[in-house]
Amino acid sequence: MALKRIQKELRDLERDPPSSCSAGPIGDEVFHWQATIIGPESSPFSGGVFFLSIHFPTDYPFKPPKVNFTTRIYHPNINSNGSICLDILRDQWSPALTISKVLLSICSMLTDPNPDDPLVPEIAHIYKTDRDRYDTTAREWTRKFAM
Amino acid sequence: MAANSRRTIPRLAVYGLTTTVLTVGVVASAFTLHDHFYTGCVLLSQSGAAMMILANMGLLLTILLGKLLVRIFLGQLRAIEVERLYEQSWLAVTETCLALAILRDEFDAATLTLFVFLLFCKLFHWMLADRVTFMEQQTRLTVLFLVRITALSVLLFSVDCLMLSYAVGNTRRYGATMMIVFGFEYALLLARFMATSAKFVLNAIDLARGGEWEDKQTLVFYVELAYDLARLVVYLFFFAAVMAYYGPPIHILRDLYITARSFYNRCRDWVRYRKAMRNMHLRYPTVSQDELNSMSDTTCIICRDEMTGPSQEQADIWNNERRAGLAQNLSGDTPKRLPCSHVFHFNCLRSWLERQQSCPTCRHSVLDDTVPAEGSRNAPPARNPPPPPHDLPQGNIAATDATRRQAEDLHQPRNHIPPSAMSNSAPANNAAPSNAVPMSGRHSHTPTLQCQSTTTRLPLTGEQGYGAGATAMPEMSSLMSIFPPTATHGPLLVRSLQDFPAPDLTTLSDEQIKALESGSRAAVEERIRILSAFQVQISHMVVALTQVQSLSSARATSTTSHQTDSALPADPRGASPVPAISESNGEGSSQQQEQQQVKGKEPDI
Repeated sequence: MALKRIQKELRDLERDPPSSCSAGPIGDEVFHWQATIIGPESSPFSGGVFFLSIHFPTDYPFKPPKVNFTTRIYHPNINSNGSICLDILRDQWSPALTISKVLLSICSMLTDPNPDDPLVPEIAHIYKTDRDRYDTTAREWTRKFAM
Repeated sequence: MAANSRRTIPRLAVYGLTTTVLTVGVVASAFTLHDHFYTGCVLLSQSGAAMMILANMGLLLTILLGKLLVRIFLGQLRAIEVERLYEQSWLAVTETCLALAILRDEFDAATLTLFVFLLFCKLFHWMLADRVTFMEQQTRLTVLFLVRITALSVLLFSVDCLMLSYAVGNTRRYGATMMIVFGFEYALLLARFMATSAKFVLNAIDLARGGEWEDKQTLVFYVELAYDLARLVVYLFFFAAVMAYYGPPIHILRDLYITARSFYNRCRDWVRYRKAMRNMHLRYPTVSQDELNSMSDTTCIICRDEMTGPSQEQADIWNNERRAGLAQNLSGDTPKRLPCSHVFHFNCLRSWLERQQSCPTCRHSVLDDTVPAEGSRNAPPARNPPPPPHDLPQGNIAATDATRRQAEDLHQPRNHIPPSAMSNSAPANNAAPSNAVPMSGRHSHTPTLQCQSTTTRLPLTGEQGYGAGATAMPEMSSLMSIFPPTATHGPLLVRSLQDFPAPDLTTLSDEQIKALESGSRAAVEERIRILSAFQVQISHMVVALTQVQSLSSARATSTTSHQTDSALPADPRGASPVPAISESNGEGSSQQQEQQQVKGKEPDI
């Protein structure tokens, strides 16, 4: 079940790739993928290319995939280990979601962080109180780590 | 990860070389100083530094043995396995330190050795569990893999049993010592081993069947439930024992909490899953190929395969079985429709409901009962003619038909009363206020509201009332025997008068009356409603009177008719389906379905 569904998603991704992200298996390990997200234009991450690792659980799609940033990023909902605080990757997961939808959600999270449910409270605080500083730091990190 | 392993191997080599050199140095110096073997040993054992170096050597040998065993039984570890081992080892080491803090009075080299050995065993249990999980990612099994896993399982099983029996024997002989801690640890490992090997067998069977074994997930769920239960019991015993002899065992608090929570969650999930499955069999219609053809998208969103439905006849058979409260013998790829009108494969849906009880597409909970069981969506339209509410004579006939039909339904043999059918009262209950909202602002005794509130009782009385009437209430049963079956709805009509009280116009405020008098459309409609409520009253009264008259003339006994009047209103449950109500039921459900559909469309993800 999991294998078939992952292969189907891969085929769909190849046939109809999303505009700002890509994903595919690493080598021939079907359950372990690498994905890239191009920083959205309207965000301080624009111009950066961010890598993510995706681990599919054996009971995918009934359990969410484990998605982590491997590129460092300055964001209130992403910590220094690359863990992402996103509800659809946790309790709001649904088998109707696909990797491409998850990546798109992450893209939109880059544009619109959710500082009310932060993973890194310091960044969330800066985001809320001093948006210019947040933008500057985020741009700086993007230049440093993602270009 | 490759870089990581490249880094660890030289580190291990440096460590091994240093330790070996030191050990050789210490031993050599001891034996050059003392000619006799015995005195050399005494010297070594009395020097703290020498003992440290020897212990270090022991650790190195253990690591090398571990690596060797891994090579023999597991081959190359995958990156994620190594990662998980590190993670779990850190937790285990932390907990071991806590345990040692509790057992500090009995702490010696032997205890330390036992703890290292325990950690060693744990590591292999984890690796075995990881490998068994990894089986699910494979498409076929090699003989080598099976042999390796079986051999490792046998080895671990014997070690667990051996250590457990040793700990039990030791405790029996010397009373409660720190061996009790080890005994429990090995009991836990044994439980874990049992669960892992059960999963191994299940996975092997699944792979042998080509990965299409449908009941596997359910069995795995039961295995995990049993494992959690076993763990919880062992932990509680352990907790009590250690508490009695040593004080609070802080090192297992985390595990105890996690186990208890996991067990609780699993039990809750299990109950919910059972309920969802019952709903699936009793409430969710099977979708035929014809219906699928009329849909725009026939992909099962869970497995992303196209769905193919059974023929219309087969779907009808299944849906009839479903209505009769029978479990259907469905194949895994039968399409099923949820109350929110989303369609999925039976098996895909089942696997999802094991984990969460909501629609994958719209997250509408499949457990709440806001949707009636008999979705009129799939019922043939002829079965439920929706007569216009103001057209009373026709409405009555249709309603009487409905009553008879329901009475016939009740006569059908039934295995059990499905609890889901009983809870059907909830939907109408929930829906009634929402339907009545526009009305209640002005006055509450509107016929619409009455119909709705009557509906709330209907399915319940339909399911229960007959049985209760036949056994618990002598008056009722005597009535049943007196009135031939065709006349069953006679007394029921009398009862129904209770359900249609006339609108109480005396309670209306001046403003409300003024509002009623205005020429607006709402006011006119309101007036028509009130009038038709009275019309309902009158026509019911006429029908009831006619029946009573005909019956009393037939029986020619005044006592019977007297009984009818007095016995029935006293019985709150005695009423079976009431006319006009099934219409409003149909109305209500279709309204609800509309609501559901609207709801279903909103969160399109």
